[in-house]
Order: sequence, then C-alpha cells, then structure tokens
Amino acid sequence: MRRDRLFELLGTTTDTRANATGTWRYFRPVLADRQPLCAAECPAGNNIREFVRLAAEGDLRAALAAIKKENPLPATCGRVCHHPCTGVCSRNGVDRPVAVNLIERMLGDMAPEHSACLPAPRDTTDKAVAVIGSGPAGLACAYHAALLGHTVTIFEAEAAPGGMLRYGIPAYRLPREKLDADLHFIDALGIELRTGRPIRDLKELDGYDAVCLALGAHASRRLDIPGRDAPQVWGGLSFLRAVNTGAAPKPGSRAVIIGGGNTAMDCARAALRLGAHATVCYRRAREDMPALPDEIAEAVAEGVAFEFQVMPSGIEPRDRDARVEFIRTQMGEPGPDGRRHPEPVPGSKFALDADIVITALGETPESGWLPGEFIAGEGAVAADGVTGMVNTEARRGLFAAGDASARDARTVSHAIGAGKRAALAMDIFLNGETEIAGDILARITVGGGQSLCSRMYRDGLPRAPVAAVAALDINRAHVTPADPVAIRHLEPEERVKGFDEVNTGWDAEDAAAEARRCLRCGSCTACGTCLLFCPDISVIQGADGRPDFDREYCKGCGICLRECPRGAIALVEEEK
Amino acid sequence: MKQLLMGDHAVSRAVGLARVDFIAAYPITPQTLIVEELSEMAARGDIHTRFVKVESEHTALAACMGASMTGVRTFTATASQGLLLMHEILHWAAGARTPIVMVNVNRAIAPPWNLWSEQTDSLAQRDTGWLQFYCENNQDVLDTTLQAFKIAERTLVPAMLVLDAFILSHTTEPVDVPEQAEADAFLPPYSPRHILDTDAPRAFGSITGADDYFELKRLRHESMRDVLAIAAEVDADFETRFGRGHGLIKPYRCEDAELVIVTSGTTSSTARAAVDALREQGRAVGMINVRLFRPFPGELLARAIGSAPKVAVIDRNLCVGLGGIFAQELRADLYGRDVRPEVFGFVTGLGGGDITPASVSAMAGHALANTPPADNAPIWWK
Repeated sequence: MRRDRLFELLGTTTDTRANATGTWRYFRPVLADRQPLCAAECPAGNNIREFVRLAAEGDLRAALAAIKKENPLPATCGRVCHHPCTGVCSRNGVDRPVAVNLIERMLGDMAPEHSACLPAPRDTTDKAVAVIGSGPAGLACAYHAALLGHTVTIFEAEAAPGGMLRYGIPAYRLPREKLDADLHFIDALGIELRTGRPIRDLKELDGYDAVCLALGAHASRRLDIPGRDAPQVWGGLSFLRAVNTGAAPKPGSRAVIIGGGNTAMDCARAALRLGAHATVCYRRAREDMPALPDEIAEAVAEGVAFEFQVMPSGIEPRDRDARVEFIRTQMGEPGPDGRRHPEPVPGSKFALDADIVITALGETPESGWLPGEFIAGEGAVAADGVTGMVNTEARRGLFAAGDASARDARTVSHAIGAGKRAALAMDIFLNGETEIAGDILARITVGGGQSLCSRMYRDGLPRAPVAAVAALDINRAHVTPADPVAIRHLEPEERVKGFDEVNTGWDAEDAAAEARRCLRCGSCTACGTCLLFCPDISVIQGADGRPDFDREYCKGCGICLRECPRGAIALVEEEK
Repeated sequence: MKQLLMGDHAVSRAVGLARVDFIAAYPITPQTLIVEELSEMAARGDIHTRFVKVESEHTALAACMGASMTGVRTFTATASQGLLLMHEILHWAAGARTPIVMVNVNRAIAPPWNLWSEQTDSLAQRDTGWLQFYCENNQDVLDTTLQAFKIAERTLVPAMLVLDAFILSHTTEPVDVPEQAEADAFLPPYSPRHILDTDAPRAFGSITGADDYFELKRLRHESMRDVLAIAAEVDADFETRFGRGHGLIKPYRCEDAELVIVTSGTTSSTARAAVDALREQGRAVGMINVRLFRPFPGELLARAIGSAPKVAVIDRNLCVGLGGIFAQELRADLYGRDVRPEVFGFVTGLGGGDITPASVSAMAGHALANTPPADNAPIWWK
C-alpha cells in the first residue's frame, strides 16, 4: 500500500493561521466588571467584594475604609445583620457561603480609632440637616449627610444614641461597647447629637433645610383580651428596654412570651438568662414565624420552649403569678397579606401559669404627632419608595427612613440602607435636582435591587445602573471546595448564664482565611480558565495577566463566557 | 486456558491481551459489561490502559481517534443508539486512517425501545469505511478481537466487530483464552510512522481539493479491498499458532446442495443444526456462515454456492423499503458473476425475535417449494 503517498495527501504542514476566522464573528467577548450577587442583595449597599478582597490580602485598614464608604456600623452589622449576602453567595452548593458578616465584624472591631478609616467629607456646604432618631436609619442618614458636607443635628429622645441597637437588641447579640465603638463617627464628623430631646412638632425644625424622620417603630401592639393590663404583663420592647438599661424585672421561674418575631426571640432568651424557663407561644405554625432563622435556631439551642398554633384568650392575675388561658388554632385561608389566618378551634382551651407574660406582637411608629397627610396605614410615614421623600405640599425637604416608613423588611441593614438613601436624596434635593432624583439613584443601584453605592454618588455617576452578575453566570464546575473557617459560639449551657456575647467572632487571621474563599464574582482574577477552554486559541494572556481576546481569530463562540467561573466576561454584539 | 466467559467478557479479555493503550467509552446495554470489566482491569493495574470516561459515544470515538493519531492502540465498544450517535466520527476515523477496533453489540434501534438482538445498527454503518466482522460464538469473539487489531493496523482500516445482543453478549460459553506471551507473539506493538507529533507538527485531514480528495478515497477503497487477502492471511496465521481458524466465510455441507442457506452471527449455529436435520430427512441443504461482511467476500461466497440453484439468505435486519441487507449485498455481488441462483431474502428475528432450528427448517422448506417473490421483495418470517 502506498502509505507514504497516503500521508502526503492526508497530512499538511500549511499554517492554519492563514484562515482569519475573526471575520465570522457576530459577537465578541469583553471583560465586564459587574457587581457580585452579594452586593446586589445587601440592603445596606456594602461594597462586599472590595472589602473582602482587601481583607484576604491582609490590608485591613483599606478593607475597613471600603466598608466605611458605605456603612457606618460594621461592628453592629457584623453581629446583627441577617446576612442575605450569604444566601446568594456563589459558594452555596460548593462548600459554605463566605461568612461576609463575620469578616465585617472583625474589621469593625479592629481599629480603636475608627475615625482613621472614615472617608474624607466633601467640602462644607451651607445646608443644615436635622435627623429625628438615632437608630440605624437615623445614624446612617446623619453619617452620609455629614460626609456630603452638610451640617447635621440628630435629635434623640432617649438618653443615649442607638435606638433599637441599644434599647432593643440585648447585649448577648450586640455588646454595648461594640455599639459605642461604631458611634465614634458622630464626634469625628462633627455631627451634633442632642439626646433627651424628643421632637413633637415639626415647626421646631423650621430652621433646617432638610429633615429626616427616622422615628423607628416603638409603639407595641397590645393584646385585645381580658386581663391584658395585669401586672404580670409586659410589652416586649418595654421588657427589653428594662433589660438593656440594667433595670430588668425578675421574671420568676416561668416566662410566657406571646409572638413569633425577633422581639419575641430576644425576650425569651433574655428571660432565660434572668433565670426563667421561657415558652414562646405563637398563633401560627413554626414555618410561619417571622423571626430570622438564626434567631430561632439560637433560641432553640438555648432551651426556649415553643407552643405553636395557640392564641391567648384571657389572662387571670392571681396573687403572685398569672394564669394565661389559650385556645388552639387551625390554619385557615390566607388573609389580605397572603399569610394563613389562624382560627380558634372550639373546645380546645388550655392554660399556662406564668410569673411574667411578655407580649411581642409587633410595633408601629409613634407618629401620632405628625400631621395626618404625612401618615399612611398603621402609623407608617408615607414616603416615596425610591427617594424616601415625604411627598407633600405642606413641607418641602421632608424625608423618612427605616421602620418609621417601611411596611416590611424591618431589619437593621434595611434601615441603614434607607438612611443612606434618604441622605443622598436629601443632597439631590438640596442641589435643586429633585426632578432627576429617581434617575440618579437608579444609576447607583446595584442589579436593580435596593443596594445603593454612595461611593459612586460621590466619585462619579455611572452612565447606566450598575450591572450585577446573574446566578447563571457563575460556573461552579471550576470552583474547588475549600474548608470554611469554623464559626465559634459559646457552648449552649454557657450562653444562658449571662449576657456575654454568644458568637465569639474571628481574629484577623481567621477572617483573612475566610475572605480568601471569596470567588470575586463579576471581576476577572486572571485565573486562566478562559485561556484553557478557547477552542480557537484566541484568548491570550495580556500584560496584566488578564485575558486579551485575539480579534483576528476569535469566532465569538462564547465558550470563554460559559466557562468563566465568576461571570466576568460578556458578549457584545459586533457593529456591522 | 479454557474459561467460562460471557461474550462481553471474551471481548474485554482479548482487549487486555492486545495491550490496548487507550480506551474512551460510554456505557450502553448490552455492551456495558465490556467496558466495565476493562475499567476494573485498568483500575487494578492488571492492564496498563488509560481509561477515560466520557459523556457520550460521539466523544468516545472522537477521543479514541485523537489518541490513535498519536500512535497508540485504542479500543471502544458500543451498541445501537450509541453507534448511531458515533456515526459522524465513524466516517472521520476511517478517513483519518486510524486503526481503531470497536465492538458493537447488535441491538435493535429505537423507536420503539427494544434492547434485543438485531443487526440493523451495524449494517446501517456499512458505508462508513470500517471493516465488519460478525461473530458466531464467544471463541470467535475473542479470537476475532485479537485478529482485528492486526488486520486494522496493517491496512489502516478501522475494524468493527459485532456480537448478537444477549445471545452472545450475556451468554456464557467455554472459551480458550491465550496466554499473554502467545498473544504478544501474534500481535506485535503498534508503531506507526505517521502520527501527530509536536516535534514535527502537521495536521491531518485539512481542507483538500477535488483531485487529492478523489485519490484519498480511492486509496481507502484499495485498502479495504486489501483486507480480503490480509484478513485471510491473519486468520491462517492465527490457526497455525492457536490451532483454530474461523475463515472469512464458513460453508457447511454445501456440496451438491439444492439450497444454500446464508446466515451470520449466532443464526449460523442455528442454521447448522437445521441443515443437519434437513439432511437427515434427505433434503440437500447446506449453509454458509458469513463472518466478514465488509469488504464483502463475494468471490468466496460465489465459489461456495457453486451450482446450487437456490440460496436463502436469513437477515436479522432491515433496510426499510429495500429488504434484508445481506440479501441485497449478495444479489448485487452475484450479478456480475456466472453464479446465478434464485435468491430468497428472508427477513426475520427483528427486535430480538427467536430464530430456531424449526423456523430455519421451515424457511428452507419454503424456499425449496417456491420461487422467489417478484422484484426481490423480502419474505417476512415470524
């Protein structure tokens, strides 16, 4: 057989580079710097990828500075935020999501002089801003307004700042000294804080160019049953306030807590620590509880008992204790809020004896002093969803943020995000540009959610809203599982002995190790995966290690985009 | 040494003896046992074979082809749907002159779903340029697998070996397994000269104009025709070394036959029993097992048929609209020769239907008593 002739015909040494396949292209790949899913999800608008990256590289002060551009309260958030970032972290399904909150906590605890990591304020303006309330919404609003150069005064009814952070959340979740450390910015930025100074008439603030109502929601809902005023009955917020100001009542040995939200969890866990056995009584089922899963889990671990589908029908005060009569419920049709309505089951009464009965049935804003046209249903201040502006002819430059105006998503981080939003909207108003406030705020919104980037507001507005990666852009096939850093807690038996912090946090080394697990979604890290998979050898390593796309041969197949583990490549249509 | 082996395991033993360097495979009933045992042998280090699991048969053959082009001995196995999925690469491997050996276990093609024995899957690939052997029993399977490497590597024509689903693949028979040293003596290492080599870079199969393409195709055809002589030579050499040969065809009691039954695969064993029974009854019937199908051993068949006036071909396959494929190939081949029997094309056993000595005898009886249907129509037999 003529084998040599065969291979003479079959083989060739012609260089295939003669065929410039780049002309076949309809789309070309480009590096796209997009925000990660965690940042899009963060209600406070944290620049998560950036501060985690800096922490991973050991540049802790730069990491803290990156946080402080967006969020004044990292030691607080690192402890009490419900961390929705971890819910969307791309490492879900690989090993464990990056514990962004614990990294934030370590950074927040780090510098004794937090002012050293504060952003430089803008030049002083001639505008004066008043913020009513120093809870997380008011604090964030004051912070960002001061950074924008305005003169800020906070009016706080209580003797100390913090709102729910100080008077609601107990120390085992947020130690007072950590909260105080976060609040150093007030002095550092020259914000005037006037404590013990409630406002009950807006006319008192006529001298201010803009006002933010960050009133919170402190009016506890009351039971509507006989015996609701019995001496053994405490409102949840009142109970917590007493605990948090060192004036805790003795709960006796049996505490009954009515409710299923975070306030109920904190009341139950505080009662435990004061020596009582605590039973949480909730009218719906376990899966309906509005409390955050972490809070419920910690309550369970500490030995809080639960009764589900029970409703109190009467309280009978006796000499020392009280008898609480309950009726069992069955879940009926959903109500107007979509939640199943609990209906009493006839003939199912039973009773629990209690030394203290704590009601945690939800709160409404104490807004009765405001003119009626500023109020929507259930006492909530009527504020625009995008600008936080209280739209009214009666008063210009009035804004609201946090629980005072939010109807749902009443968390610390949402409040911080809302305070930031109000401050930026105020600045736009003070510049006389309110008509385009919606457009400006849209352009600094990440991924079409609630996350606002104040850094972009200051450093230069993008031309279009900030894009975020989509979950489908992440290719986990190329992500190797890595051991997550263990999250440490006090032992359950230890926890209830006092009010020491339950989650014992991380040091810088642990936080850096955890931070190194971050994929850096949406940004190119020069991992080289695209180089490996390009079938046309058209992805080559550029000077900075990141890929260059050889336009002469790239056919625009998009395999680089599909293989990129972190969604850092986009396809752009070729102009014809 | 004689061992009891299922057909599938006769294959894997042969592949181990052949010192195959690279296997890429995807499982499918009823061949899975082949690649499963090979993967275990490789994992244990009993054989020094790189075994790659791939996500489809198309990739399996493409990977084998790529490996083969670097100069290593390769193997894969499939059946039915899997073979169909490989179709594009069958053409490629043959055109690229890679001497891959592949076992296809004949299984009916869906729809509807049917796992049992039928030859249409491999026969539908008869134009791809692979040589095709149809094995009659498990000894044939083991021996032909070894022979196939030698034939393919000498001719640079890839080799497809075929077994009946379940009737051979999952049936245990005593098989004489050669010692490794004997196999080594029979089958030297594969060491081609023209390979992909990063030190002397070249591409194979790039864009080619009509003249060169024509010549390459003709060279392929010539190599395929060479298989007739080379396969016979290799079988004769095998017989010398191991004491048994299988022939490209195997006639049985065809001398002075009124009717010659032409069969392939396990049907041949059945037909032999039927021939004996018919001869007992005084009918002059013989049979021929067709072991090599492509290239079609027309000359050998014509000589074995000789002056028999009737030939009954039993096809466990169907070309829709045409009829049985062995029958068609035989008719086409005989057309240019002086041998002019009446050819009866029986189509039976589709979807794994049983072909029994009784049914073979009945088909023979029908052929003896009738003339073939007009225009070469198939005779459907259940």
